[in-house]
Amino acid sequence: MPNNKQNNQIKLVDISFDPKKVDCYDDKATIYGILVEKQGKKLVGKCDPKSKKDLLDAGKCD
Amino acid sequence: MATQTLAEAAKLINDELVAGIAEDIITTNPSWNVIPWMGFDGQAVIYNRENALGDSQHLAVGGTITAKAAMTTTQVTYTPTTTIGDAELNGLVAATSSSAGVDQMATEVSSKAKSVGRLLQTGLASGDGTGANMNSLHTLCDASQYTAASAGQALTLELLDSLLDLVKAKDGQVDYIMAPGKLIRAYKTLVRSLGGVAENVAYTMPNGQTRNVSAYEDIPMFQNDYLSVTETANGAALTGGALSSMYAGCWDDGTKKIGASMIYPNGTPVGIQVEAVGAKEAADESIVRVKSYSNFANFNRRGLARLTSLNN
Repeated sequence: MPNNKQNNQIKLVDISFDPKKVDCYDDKATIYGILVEKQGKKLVGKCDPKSKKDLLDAGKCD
Repeated sequence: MATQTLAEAAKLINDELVAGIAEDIITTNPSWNVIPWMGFDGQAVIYNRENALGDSQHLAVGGTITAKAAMTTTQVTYTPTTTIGDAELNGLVAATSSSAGVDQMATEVSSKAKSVGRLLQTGLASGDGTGANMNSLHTLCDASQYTAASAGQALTLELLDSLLDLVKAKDGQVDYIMAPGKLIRAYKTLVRSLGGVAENVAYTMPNGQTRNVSAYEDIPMFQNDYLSVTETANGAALTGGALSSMYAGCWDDGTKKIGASMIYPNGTPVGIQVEAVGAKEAADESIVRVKSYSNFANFNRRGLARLTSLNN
């Protein structure tokens, strides 16, 4: 699976979501396909930089 | 004597003009024929979905019951929007067309109705749900209903399975898969490469015709070419990239608790209505209005899921 290999080589970056914005109040969840955990008032997880940039540009993450 | 020319002979001849207009602006979307339309009363349709269940506990003999918490719900509201266009026709144009046996206004209204229908289908695929714009699969798919994040990935059967796993509104039963044409082609290529034959299901359309639709695990895969093929990673935006998404979900069954449906106010015609407005005050033109009061709704957030970042 070349895509998985490619993904494994990508350095993941931190991403966080506002629970109110994504309507998710669970301690652990998957938001836009990204595993997140509640930390303080935010849902925090890791994803590839491209995904973060696109979600950030669309105003869907912090 | 020289022969008669075609140009000269043409003066004595009427060429055949085929009546009507052949369609050329066509976008494939058979699912438009099967999506349910449901009426509602009042200004909006509101449904409550579970937020937290009332709690419960296992209890030992002599134990104290502490599971006293009440349930909580979240309200979701859908309102209709107007999709509209006016067909206007000059009296002289109408009269001269009519004398030649052509109802020009009927042709204009037919074209306007097609335009309204196409706008509704475009809205269902890519509306942003703001202002008078329609809700779409893009805006109504909940953030928790996306398959694993990826910057870009090719379609696999495992990914397709993970998409179906996310649709839980009918205890795992999925009513439809929807994707742009290039993803349906990618799916067929995938099946053929495994030595299989792409399945079809014979789907009876409301017009009585039967149409073969691709199927995966007996779930019809509808080609919808209104869906974006320029998405960015994880379906963050519908333009600016080169990726696309595949959706799976349930149609609503009339209970307004299960899945996707078009909504319209009760008392108005389902779909598109045509209204003869009459003559324009300051011009010799008559107006016929073509409109639809409707919107796209999803009555269960576990009834719609999205497989994103597909780069096929």
